Amino acid sequence: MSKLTEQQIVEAVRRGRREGQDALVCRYAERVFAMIVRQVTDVMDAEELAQDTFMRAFSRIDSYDPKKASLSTWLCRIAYHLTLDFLKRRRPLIIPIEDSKVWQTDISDEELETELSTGGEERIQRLQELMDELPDEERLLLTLYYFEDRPLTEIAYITGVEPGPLANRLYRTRKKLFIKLKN
Amino acid sequence: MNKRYKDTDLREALRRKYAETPQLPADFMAKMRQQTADHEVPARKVTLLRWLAVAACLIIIIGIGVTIAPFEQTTDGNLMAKQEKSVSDVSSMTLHPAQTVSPSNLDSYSTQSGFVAQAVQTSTHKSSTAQKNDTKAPAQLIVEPVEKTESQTQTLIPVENLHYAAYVPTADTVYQAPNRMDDFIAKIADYNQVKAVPLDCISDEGDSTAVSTAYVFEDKQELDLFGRLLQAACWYDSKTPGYLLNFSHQQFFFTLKDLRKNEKYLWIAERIVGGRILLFCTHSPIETEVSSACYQNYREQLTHTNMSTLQF
Repeated sequence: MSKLTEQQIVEAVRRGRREGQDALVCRYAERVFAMIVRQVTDVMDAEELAQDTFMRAFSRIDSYDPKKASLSTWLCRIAYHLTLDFLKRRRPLIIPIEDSKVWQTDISDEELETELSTGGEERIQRLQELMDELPDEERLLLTLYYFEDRPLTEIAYITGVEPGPLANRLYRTRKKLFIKLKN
Repeated sequence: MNKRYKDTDLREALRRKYAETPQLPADFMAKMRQQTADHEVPARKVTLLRWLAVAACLIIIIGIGVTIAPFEQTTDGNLMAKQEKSVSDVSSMTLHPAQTVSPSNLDSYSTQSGFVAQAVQTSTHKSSTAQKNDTKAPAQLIVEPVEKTESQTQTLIPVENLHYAAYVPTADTVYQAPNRMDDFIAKIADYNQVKAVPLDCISDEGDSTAVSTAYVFEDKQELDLFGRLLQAACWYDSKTPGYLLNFSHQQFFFTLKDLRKNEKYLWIAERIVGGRILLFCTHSPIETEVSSACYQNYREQLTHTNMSTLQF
């Protein structure tokens, strides 16, 4: 593993130096690949997307601002958008049929949390299945929030959505899952 | 907003779902090195290349501006020049008393190109004027061939058919699997608990290889089947081979070709009596002739109406 600091890596990549590029890939490849492969089931596709992520990072390193996010988060932001683009090309954009029901159902944040924290085996299995039925953006949001345990502000940076609307989207997605569970 | 939801069920579901995430391939680093080596350009050269690219673009733009923009003028100019040349050629023509130009000679010459013919006509016009002026005797024209007329004529005739309708895609450069449309329909049907009815399409028309399925949906506003089908169809690039989309309030018609699988797809949705929508999906090898008999028969069964006897 390279001993270079994050700042040194950025500087080296900026200058087009090989050791900087190697260090960047070496340090973050696993994380970036894991994030992609969770959404893109084909390993070859995921590998290609991870490579594209780094190639884009090399060419756009000037746009990286360390004040806004860490290098890792910046890479995840690139990976997120590349993955979404890839998934959109692969799957038709479908507005789910049950979307209208989400707004008709009235449930508070606390009730929702209780409903999604029962510990019931059947419910967990059903949630696992329902995850595939969600639109890509919502599934990615849940993965970043629950599985990768990232704060909303960081997810907002990755997705490019303001934290306020993002919190609404998270609430809406949870509510949608709850409705599906009830049905 | 900073509150973190526990949602333990959801967390557990995700943890199980992603428990067996594939590992980063061992040769990833080597592949990355290879890729960066392919793309490697020294940083200093990048700036130089950018300037060179800008300069090249400017030269191209100026070049295009000079050659293409005044195209009509130059064309007219060429014609004028040609006419002038032929007129000046007339001055070098030899006038022989008691000899005439035979029309057959002119004809055989004019077949070479319109320009030459024009030049000859101009010449004859000029010569006839000359004849009028020279009252002594009729004259014969010895017309010297005009060089390069053929190539000049060719530049004026558009070789390609540039009309957009003439574009026929021969390769699926942007591949979007048409069977995703079927998957989408199957999901809608499943959600609305509509059964897929496989249609037996073996008929004399030779469409035995066609796989046809019909669905009968309730025509509900909440379902908005036409809207959803249209939405799914609009996902496809209009340059997708075999792309044909046609719809109205009454009918939805959509076709695609899958050049990779050598299959063609057709979807027809139609509002039928009884507040229902009949959705017919079929796919078959591209070369197969698919008859509409199958669809018509099933439609008649549903509506007890023969399409051919309908009066429009």
